[in-house]
Amino acid sequence: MRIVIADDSTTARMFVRRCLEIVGFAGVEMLEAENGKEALEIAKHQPTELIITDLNMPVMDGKTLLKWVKANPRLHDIRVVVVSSVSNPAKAEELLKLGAHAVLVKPLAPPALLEVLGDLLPKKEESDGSASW
Amino acid sequence: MVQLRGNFDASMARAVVETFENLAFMEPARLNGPPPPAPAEEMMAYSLLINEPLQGEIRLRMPRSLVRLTTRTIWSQQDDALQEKMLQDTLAELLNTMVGRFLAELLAEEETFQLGLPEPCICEDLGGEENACIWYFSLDEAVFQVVAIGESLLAIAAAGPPPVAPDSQAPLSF
Repeated sequence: MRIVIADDSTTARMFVRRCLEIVGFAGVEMLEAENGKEALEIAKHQPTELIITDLNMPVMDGKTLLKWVKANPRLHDIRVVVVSSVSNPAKAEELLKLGAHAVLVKPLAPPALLEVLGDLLPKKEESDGSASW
Repeated sequence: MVQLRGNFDASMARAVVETFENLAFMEPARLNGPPPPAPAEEMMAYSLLINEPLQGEIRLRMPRSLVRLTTRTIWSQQDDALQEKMLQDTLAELLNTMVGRFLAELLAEEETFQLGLPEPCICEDLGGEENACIWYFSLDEAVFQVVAIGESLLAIAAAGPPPVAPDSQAPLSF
């Protein structure tokens, strides 16, 4: 399994990575991208199950990344979770219509992540799936 | 016309406190006014533009020592492992997150908003500035400030708490 974390902030990427590890994705390969374009390139060349992306990024923002992923038949099935500080109900609805699996608000909290990604957790032999916060 | 649902002052105060609590596991306390004069300390500041639906700017200005402490806490690193880039990034992400929370609470649910990207700024103490709204917070014996600049933002601040709507579900217009 491979996860791509896209955010122009190294602090935010680290925080997402830590949350993923807490909810049970420790040991899963996580690649980091500084913008949507980098994330898209990774996904095109390396099979990816999940992209967790910020919205507001230079070069290519998260909404554009989402559109590109969902428009590409080879990438269409990748689950895209948006984690952003610029999210409110109206924005979330727009992103969900574009194909986002979930829209979460910064700062990310492990329980919120677990709620939307629980079914992707590695099997028991890889991780016990326990989550505490 | 921008639709509002939250209180300008309280929304920012809450956004700042919740951002520090959730991102850095630290609890700043809001001060009622400017702190008493203290020895000069090197400050760091970042600025973030609000582009839509209001136009304005929010600045976060913190003593460098407090930025170091916050960064160390978030990254779980020893002080000597911290790099300048990490300090800058931490300050930028704190600002980005708190402004997002502030607008999400201030604006009506159907209002979307657009932010610029956080940028470092030379930010003098704006304590005596009339064209700015300033919030002061204490954290670990240091004081930092959040500053709002821009006519449309300040007009909301000057208007004070929104009146109680006849229908509490109805957003308030400004």
